[in-house]
Amino acid sequence: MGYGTPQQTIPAPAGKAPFSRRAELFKQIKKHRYHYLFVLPMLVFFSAFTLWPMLASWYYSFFNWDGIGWPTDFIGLGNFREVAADPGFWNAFMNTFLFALTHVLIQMPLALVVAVILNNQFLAGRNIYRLLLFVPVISTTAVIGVIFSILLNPLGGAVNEMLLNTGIISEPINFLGSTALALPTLLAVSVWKSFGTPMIYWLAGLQTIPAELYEAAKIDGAGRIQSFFRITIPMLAPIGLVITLLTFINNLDPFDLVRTMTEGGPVKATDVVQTYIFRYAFEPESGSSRYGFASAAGILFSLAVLVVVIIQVLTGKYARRSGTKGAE
Amino acid sequence: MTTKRSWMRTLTTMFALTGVLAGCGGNNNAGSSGTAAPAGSSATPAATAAVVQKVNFSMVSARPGDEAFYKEQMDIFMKANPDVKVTVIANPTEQYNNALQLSFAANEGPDIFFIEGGQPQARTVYDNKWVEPLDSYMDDAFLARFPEGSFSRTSQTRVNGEIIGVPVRDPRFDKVRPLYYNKAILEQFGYSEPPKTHSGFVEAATKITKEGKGQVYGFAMMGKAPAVFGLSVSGLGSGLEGGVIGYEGNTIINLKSGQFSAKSATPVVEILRQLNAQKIVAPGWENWDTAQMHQQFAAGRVAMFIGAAWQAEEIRKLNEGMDMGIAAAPVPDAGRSGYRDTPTIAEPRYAMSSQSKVKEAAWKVLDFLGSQEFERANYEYAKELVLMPAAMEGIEMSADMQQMVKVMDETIRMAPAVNTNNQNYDQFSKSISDAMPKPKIQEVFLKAVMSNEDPVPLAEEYDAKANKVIDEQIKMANDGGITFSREDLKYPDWDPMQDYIIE
Repeated sequence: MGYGTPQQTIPAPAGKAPFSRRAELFKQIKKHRYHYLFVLPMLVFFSAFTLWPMLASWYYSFFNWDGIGWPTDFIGLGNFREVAADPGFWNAFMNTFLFALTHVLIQMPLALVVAVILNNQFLAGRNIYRLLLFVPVISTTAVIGVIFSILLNPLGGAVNEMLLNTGIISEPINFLGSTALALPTLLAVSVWKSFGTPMIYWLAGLQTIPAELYEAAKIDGAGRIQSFFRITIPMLAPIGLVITLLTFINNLDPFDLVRTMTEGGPVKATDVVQTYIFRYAFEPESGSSRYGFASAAGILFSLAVLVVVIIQVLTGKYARRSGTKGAE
Repeated sequence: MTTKRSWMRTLTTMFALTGVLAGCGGNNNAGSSGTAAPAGSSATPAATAAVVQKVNFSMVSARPGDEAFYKEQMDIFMKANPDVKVTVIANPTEQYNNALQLSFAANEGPDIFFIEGGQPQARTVYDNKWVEPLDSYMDDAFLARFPEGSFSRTSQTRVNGEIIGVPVRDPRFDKVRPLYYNKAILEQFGYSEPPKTHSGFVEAATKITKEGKGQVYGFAMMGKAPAVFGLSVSGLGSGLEGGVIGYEGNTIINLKSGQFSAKSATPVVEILRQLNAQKIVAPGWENWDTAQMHQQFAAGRVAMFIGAAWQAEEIRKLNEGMDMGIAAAPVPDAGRSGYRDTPTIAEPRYAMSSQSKVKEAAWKVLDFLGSQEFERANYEYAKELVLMPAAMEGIEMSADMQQMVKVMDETIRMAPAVNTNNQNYDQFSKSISDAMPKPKIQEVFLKAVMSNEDPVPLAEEYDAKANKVIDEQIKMANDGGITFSREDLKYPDWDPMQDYIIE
């Protein structure tokens, strides 16, 4: 029997159904034993390093636990209440969402424009440009963070030295030390760093649009802008929803960049939920770790992300359904 | 041929099985508390004559050479004590306390172990009954090896009045907050010596920054995290009105009144605020950590900063030949009325397990770890000051270290610990710390400096909230059966200008 061939279901005799079902199950397992064997390592690692930590953090979140030994001090929802009452958490929460939203609202449209330009088959060296724009994506974020910290330093940093020497500014700009500038600076670096990812998604989407549509539009007298808004955008809309979701979720975790560039400072101006959690779990201000509290913060954040994703998916479904009805 | 191979396989298997069985079923007494061969055994006379006691020693391996150092030292010990066999078990710092907890939970605790994590961990090992009190083991000759006060009632080597460990390092090395200065820069701007008072410090920093025209700055701080910013506050604040401890932490208690008193640190915060508002502090300090400070200082862009003792060596790594000076941090213009506090001049480091079955042998090892010979070796290896001054004699000390010792002597005095009156405090001190209003006081101060806000009303507001938290936590502790009151936080007879030692 080949893969995908529908199997005939033989009704089990009355009174013997459970045994037959079990026998059939074992038979199926035996038949596909190599498949199970090959999947097993992934299941083991997934259980050990993803599933177990997730479940454990739910458990820990109900305890006042410093990470040493087994948690015993059960405090119910105490950690959740403390997290919810901490303005520092909500500041980190807002900054994290700001990261994701900035990428959706600024990076994605820019990436689309660049992708459209790079999709022009008559553009010389377009593969080189694609490569150059994608190099930051595959570069280590921590390295980029450290290099930018050095470049942007007001005292001896290359960027400020250049601006000062050319007379553009009279005193150095405190890119990462100012509460007003630190977050925008991090956002700019982050947008630059991950710019290649949505650009590649858009390029993939653009290449699915049949060239005939543009040719027909051209014959009908449509200009480039009209073609862009009347053909490119509608044709990209379905994949655009997926790209939006991916961009949003990918950029909800800017830990490595924030950690290496500002550690959430100055005075928490760039704090994100991940650095907030890290601080309570591994670099506690009080001297001893608070794993239970950090777990509660992580769970609250993941629940919020879950809600946002559900809204996004439902909106997408609604939009698709509306589009289908419109087509009818 | 096949038969020959088969025989060889059988023989090999038998040898292997013999080895495995021997390993499994060999000396049943060969555990951590393994002792002599049992009477009547068939051991050779030579083996029965030497009764070897096995001691497991669990240690923290913080640096790559730590394990090798301790193994080497234990080899020296075992040569002198052939009746004791010490096995060194090294754990990385991050995993150490968890590994220790698990081993005790399984009744497989080591015979000797490090106390890693300061006073809280000392309390933990005591409360969990992992540690064997050492009072009965230490005779006068042993106690006399250490400086006065090392095992006093106020020393952290004691918990609930019992000695729980043998100290090795001088804790003042971690406590001192010196002023680092670039002699060449100070001389260039007309200063032959570092500033000694707050106003002298402000004047020198201002002059250097203004005349340095962006090439060099008079002063810098590390502001990337509130904790490293706290170094500047505690350094400049070490000469402030006595009676207040914890500038660097988040629990600032005035030990005269027993009240939380962030306000006591505000004169220093105000100085830092003014310096920052007038753009005297090097730009970008808000995002500097210790590494960036070392780079900028070693590059000659910063004339002065206040830091920790360990930073001297890091700066030398970047610029070995720089003309670096180390001095006591400036004190108020009216003169010193307090010191950088240390509640103890000795911290317990090596402890004996209460579960050990070879306590006499374990004590022999502890006796060695508390010897001048070992402290000397430790100092030579780790380059960290040890408690016994005699152990460091004859070993060449770097000029930086010599200066650091002078600054330690000049700026640090023993003060009561918050828990000196009543060690029940340790049972809920973590709850107080966790329950402190957020953002914590260090962050409030850092923000005040950065955003040019008057720190006094901020501190007053924080003090009111923090004192409420302390009252609530004391009440909760009382409700839970812990005896403690606000009065226990007060030390009205303490003179902050003198060492506080209760023998």
